[in-house]
Amino acid sequence: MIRVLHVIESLAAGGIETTFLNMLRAWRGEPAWAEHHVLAFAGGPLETAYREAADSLTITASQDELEQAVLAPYDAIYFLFERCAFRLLPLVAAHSRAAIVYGKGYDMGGMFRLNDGLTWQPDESMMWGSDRTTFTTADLAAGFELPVSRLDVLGKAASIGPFLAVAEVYPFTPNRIVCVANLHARKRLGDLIVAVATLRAEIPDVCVRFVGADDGGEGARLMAMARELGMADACELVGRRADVAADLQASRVFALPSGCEGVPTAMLEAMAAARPVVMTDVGHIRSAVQDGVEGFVVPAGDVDALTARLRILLSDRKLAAMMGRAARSRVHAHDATVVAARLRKALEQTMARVTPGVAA
Amino acid sequence: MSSIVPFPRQPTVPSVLDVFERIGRDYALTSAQLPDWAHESAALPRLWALYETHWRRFCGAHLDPQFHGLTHPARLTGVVVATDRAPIVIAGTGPSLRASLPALLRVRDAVHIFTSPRGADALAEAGIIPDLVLIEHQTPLDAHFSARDLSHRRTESLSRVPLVAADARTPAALLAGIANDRLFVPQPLPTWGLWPATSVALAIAAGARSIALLGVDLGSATLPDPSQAPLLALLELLAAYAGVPCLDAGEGGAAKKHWSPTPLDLLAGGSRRPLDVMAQRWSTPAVRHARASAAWQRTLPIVEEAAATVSAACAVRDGDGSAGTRSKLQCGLEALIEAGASPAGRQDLQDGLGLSFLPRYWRQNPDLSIGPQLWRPAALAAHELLHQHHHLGARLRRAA
Repeated sequence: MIRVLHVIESLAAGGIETTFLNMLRAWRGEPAWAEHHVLAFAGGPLETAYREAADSLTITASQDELEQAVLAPYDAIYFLFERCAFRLLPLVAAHSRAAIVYGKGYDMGGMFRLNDGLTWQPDESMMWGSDRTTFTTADLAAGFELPVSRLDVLGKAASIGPFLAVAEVYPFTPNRIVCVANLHARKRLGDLIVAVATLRAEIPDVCVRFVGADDGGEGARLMAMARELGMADACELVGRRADVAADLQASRVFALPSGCEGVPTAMLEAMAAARPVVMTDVGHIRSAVQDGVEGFVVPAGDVDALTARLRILLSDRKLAAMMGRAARSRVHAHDATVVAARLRKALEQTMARVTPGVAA
Repeated sequence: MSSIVPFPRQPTVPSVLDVFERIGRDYALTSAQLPDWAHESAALPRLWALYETHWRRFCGAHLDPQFHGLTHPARLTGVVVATDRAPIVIAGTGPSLRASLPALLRVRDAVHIFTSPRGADALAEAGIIPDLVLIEHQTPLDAHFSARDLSHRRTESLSRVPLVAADARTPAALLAGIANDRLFVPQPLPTWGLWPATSVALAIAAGARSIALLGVDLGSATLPDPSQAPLLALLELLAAYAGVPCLDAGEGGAAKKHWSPTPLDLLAGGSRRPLDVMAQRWSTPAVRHARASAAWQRTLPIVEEAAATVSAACAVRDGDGSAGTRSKLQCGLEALIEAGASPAGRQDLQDGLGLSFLPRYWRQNPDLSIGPQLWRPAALAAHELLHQHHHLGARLRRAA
């Protein structure tokens, strides 16, 4: 019989998915935990990473195979795709005694529910039908009606290790602002271009670098905007990068003027790289950044406030360095290995309660 | 602009599209429950097998759990017709679209183009305005995402399209800026929730002399996308019964049976005329509210049952192992399952409240032998029922 079904809300490359990826990596050295597990999902941006990490796991994609997996005598099964979850969680709930743990990330459904009035929430019903639910942040958990005894707050996870090696800002670090995000209109990246254009009158060598994939013509729009503002030479769009540590190293400040976020992984990576951050007051950013401590939090769309905070960080280097160190210190709580250990504990406790007497 | 002509009588001989549409409503739990006329179609066994294999007899293509149908701005409903019988190209946004845009421009005068809102954006970049945009979302989350996404975009492509067929579940925000004489609710809507297949069905119904896919790649020739297997199977089945040549003009996509790889340029030569819509007035918002209110009233008894079931489920979950509570739990779940025995009850709970979990349990009953763990399917299904009933009630009160 299956001992635990772990449903993970989505397949974006966000916190809960990277947390799980780090768990898989950790399990590679622990055969007792790694045997007889099935990871079932239907593709996504982390597919390659999962395949590399899941050497003792079976990865499958088709609906038939997913259902067969449910019927197979594995100890643990993980579903990582929303539509699979909607179909297969009810199936397991109705035909198995296995423990069910629902992993709620701050993905589209959560964002839309909390910020945008989405009232359709089958995932809330799935939480009601699960033995336990894990959340990324306490704020996210507060948006659902679940008793504290049936939930765990794991924290947003990021693989911060490589970024801890990034040197702190030094006097000769260029006056560059870096923004790591997919180029999409909802990220409001144009606000950052306007801010930098304003700052150029006072700080002539200020520049901005955007790192991220273009989501259909937004890059061209941003470059046209930069040209119109006479700052094409100060605006770089470098596309998606596998490793953004070098971009952070070559920048003084991280800024993301987005109108829609959860807890951005890129922000946590920048904090690990000891960069002060200028963020917008959206999603659950305040769960990781306190205004005036690790950086600044400004209202989304308030370009004047964004410009003013960037001005402070570019002008007051002592303050910027202090905030960068505070950011690096705070982000340790988001280390993926720490969060992964919390998740594993939650899975094991639930299994022990629901299917007692069967060793993991 | 296309002309609006009177709506015809329903066909008397069932076609594959009639059966496809009927199954897609999710009213039948078994093929035997389909109307007698559906059994006259040779396509029924294959269609039902597909519905069973890939959809587990529930596609949810008509669920409207956000109740967008109450505020849909369309005034007309109907079916699109290509009186010139010109070929119809179904344009997706797969990699083959971009490569074929020059060819599409060359044959533009000879073909009609059906696409999705994202397809319309992609075509607009090449200066192409499609003839019809079908707005259909696989899930309400997808619909909400589209509406949210639209608030950040500046595209005007939808407002320039001659015809916009927006299914009854489309959020009104997505339809802002579309003139009323271009907008209609496609009915009957032959759909199982996957817009390329729905578009193909609409193209067959429109009377095109051939249908071509472009940018509907479903992976690549060497690596078909397994998650697209349901769509692939459905496209292949529709093509098998289409009665007109079905062509795959997208190079490099997954192979599709009954879709002949064909260069787009072979469609050149004719001259298309504007599409028509055989239309009639759609029900007014007041009528839709009245229907919703009636469904809300009719479901009150089962809502009481659901509330008691949730209570029993929570008690069992929290360790109450008494025979009385477990009996209440089992009886409650059985009552919810029993509510699916009547077609009218199913219709109220699916179409009226937009339920998704309980309909799955009507098709695959929970295993009563799992003992106390029965609290989970009971909580899952009953919670959704309570939530949706409350949600609809709140909507209706606000409207009143």
